[in-house]
Amino acid sequence: MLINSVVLLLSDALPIFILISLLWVHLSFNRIWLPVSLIVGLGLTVLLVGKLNSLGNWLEGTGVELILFSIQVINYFLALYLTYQFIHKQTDKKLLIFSASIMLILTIANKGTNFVVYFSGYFGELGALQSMLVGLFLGLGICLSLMILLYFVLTWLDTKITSLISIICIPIYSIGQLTNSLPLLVQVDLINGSETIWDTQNILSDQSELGQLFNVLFGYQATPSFNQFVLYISTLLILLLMMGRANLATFKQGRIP
Amino acid sequence: MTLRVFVLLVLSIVALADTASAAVSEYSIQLKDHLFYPSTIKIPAGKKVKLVIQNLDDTPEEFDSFSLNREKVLFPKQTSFIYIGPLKPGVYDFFGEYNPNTARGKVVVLKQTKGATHVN
Repeated sequence: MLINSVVLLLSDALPIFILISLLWVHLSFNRIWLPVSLIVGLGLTVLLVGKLNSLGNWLEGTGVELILFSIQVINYFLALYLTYQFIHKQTDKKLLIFSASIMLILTIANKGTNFVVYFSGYFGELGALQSMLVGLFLGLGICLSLMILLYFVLTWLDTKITSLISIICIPIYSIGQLTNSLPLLVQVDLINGSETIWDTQNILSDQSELGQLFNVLFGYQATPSFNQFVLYISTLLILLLMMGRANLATFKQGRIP
Repeated sequence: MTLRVFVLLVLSIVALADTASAAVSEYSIQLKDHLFYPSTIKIPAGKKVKLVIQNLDDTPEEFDSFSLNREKVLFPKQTSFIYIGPLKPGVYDFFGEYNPNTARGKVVVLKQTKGATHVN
């Protein structure tokens, strides 16, 4: 149960910690939004877990999958907005903070439900609580270490090379999360499945530590489907078009006295 | 331009929507004492099938499979379903994420039709 708790926490909490790191690089000027988002996110998670069973029966049993996929769609557009504003160097900081907070709250609710279901379902079992708590702290320690490491790497890249790298990491992260959630629609038969376009399990398995980290960072999949590939490329294309537009707007703005 | 690409993307997803819901075979699985019964499901290649999973335990479980690319919370004393396939012939492992040492099973896809494709 100890190892299982660590593994579960790593798979569910790592995306949250990575997102905090990506956002904190650009929004560290405000110290309030992060603790507030964490508290609201945890509250929403508990609320969602309480309703998850009844939500699951919505729309002929497709409710949960639809909600989780919709969260990723919303987060993608929030990431696009943040990217545009960071490139365009917008000064409406309140809206930036608000968008980042919503993104984090939704991510906590999305990823946190699995662990809360596990924790609430098993903590009453004999001897389980101690193992689960130790696993929780071990997992949190690993996630925190990775979060801090990523933060320092990104801030170093910001100062030594360009801030564009840390900016683009935010939408790339959300594109990966959105693409990963597409099979949710396939498993409840809302869209048809498609064939796998490559298999790199032998090179980098989804189950390996590095495979899981890459999956969180940019949506790495060892066996992606054609649907996922199309979605990834399309959302990436939208991002590139939007970045081009943001650059153009900044350039024009710079030329106007 | 960005809007046009987005509209195209939405249309593509809509086009993927399963409008022709042909008859799909159902396979029942039960979860009892953190074990899947039956632990081996045999399905035909190239066909979409529906797995109906009944959790008879008092604790939740999560049906998980890397090879099938599926993930679904199974609430205690509840019945859930997951669609899989069409799949290529082969063996696809699945497990309960909360009890991965005991709750294990596999989907064996048997060759039956030509032109089957591996799907997730």
